[in-house]
Amino acid sequence: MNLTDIQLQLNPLFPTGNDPNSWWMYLIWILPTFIIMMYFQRIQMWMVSRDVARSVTKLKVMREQGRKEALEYAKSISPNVDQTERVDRFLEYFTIMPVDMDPSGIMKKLQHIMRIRDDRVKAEVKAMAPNMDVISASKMENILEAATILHLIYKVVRHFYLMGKKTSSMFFIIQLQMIMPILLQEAEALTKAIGTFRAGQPIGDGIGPMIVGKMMLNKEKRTVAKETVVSEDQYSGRTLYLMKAEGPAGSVGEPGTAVEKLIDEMGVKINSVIMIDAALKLEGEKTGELAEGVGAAIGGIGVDRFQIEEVATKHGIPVYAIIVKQSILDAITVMKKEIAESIEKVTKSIFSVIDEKTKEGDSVLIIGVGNTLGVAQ
Amino acid sequence: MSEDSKAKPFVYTIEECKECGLKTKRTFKINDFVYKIGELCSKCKGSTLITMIYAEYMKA
Repeated sequence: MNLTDIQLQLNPLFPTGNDPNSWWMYLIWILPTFIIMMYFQRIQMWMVSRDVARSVTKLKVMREQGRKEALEYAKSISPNVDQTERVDRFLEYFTIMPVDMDPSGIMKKLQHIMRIRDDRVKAEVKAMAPNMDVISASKMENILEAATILHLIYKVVRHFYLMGKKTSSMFFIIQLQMIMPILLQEAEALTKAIGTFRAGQPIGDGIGPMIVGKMMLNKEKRTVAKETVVSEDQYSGRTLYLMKAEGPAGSVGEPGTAVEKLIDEMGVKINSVIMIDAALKLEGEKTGELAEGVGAAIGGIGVDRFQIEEVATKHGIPVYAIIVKQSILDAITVMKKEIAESIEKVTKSIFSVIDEKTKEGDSVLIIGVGNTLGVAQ
Repeated sequence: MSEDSKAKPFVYTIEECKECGLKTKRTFKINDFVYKIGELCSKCKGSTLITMIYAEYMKA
């Protein structure tokens, strides 16, 4: 078969208008073009809706799993009481952030709200099993927090999905589809985190407390703020103040308040602050890599960072930061080998900062920032 | 989804002997935590300290 034969066979598909019997070929071309022009948006909406609906179902499954695990753990600590109603009520628990139209003094308000929230969570958990030990209570708090976030993600996504369907608005659905991979990744990380919290295993975020906890071994510990302890040590003529949340319970402590108390109330003269924390890596960066910088290395809503920055600025104290890179999944699930093995590199880095940036007779505050679940001191 | 999200984590506890420095790797047990006194050293019967708990990921 040569090229001319092929051309002859295809000719009916491309009518020239000379053949009176080729009108049906025009229909084959024009009709679908017309349908696509008219209904393209609806077809696209239908396809995107199906995609989003599948993701909403996945989020629902993860939400249910989170709730189930929270109920199972509650049952394991108080077998004779049905905690279903209490857990379901907790999942709907919300926090109203202070008004930010007049931002003056907002940090104090935020700190106040967060303390009330924290106390309320602890009271709810205590009410589940009044004789529960501190570690089990902290595990329950962490599990409930993760289950609440899963519940919230599912509710908000479902809301926008149903709004999109109800109003036939493509914009709701398309925006949902665009952010869905990130939401699913976060939800998956939270679902896995619940298992880690139940087992009381250290999480990736616990690398800071793990490093400082090792330096605190066999030293006297003093509680300086809620669930936050400090020890003293000597190194090359410097006094080291070592600070972390009190483990092995799952807590981040109150490092901001602890720094304020140590410097402002207890009158300890600090010449430098070194903060060690886990930080989110960018795609392409390796888990467990460390980086050095300046500034308060601490996440969260911003209250602790604000407090540390305030005290450091007031007293002219330089703040150095050492971070261990990891993904969101690494940070809230059981610590990866690469992260755990970064302990020696980070310790070496801490002492090199002390050697280079401080002099004999100085006092250095070293803070291990993060959730100290499964890490003592 | 990341590679790790599909892989299954195996959690290990690393115990280090305070006397002879021998490091032992075993499967994580409930109630293990970092810097807890571990089991007796298999070599010198000295006391050990849990120095690490971490996960290694195996492809499912």
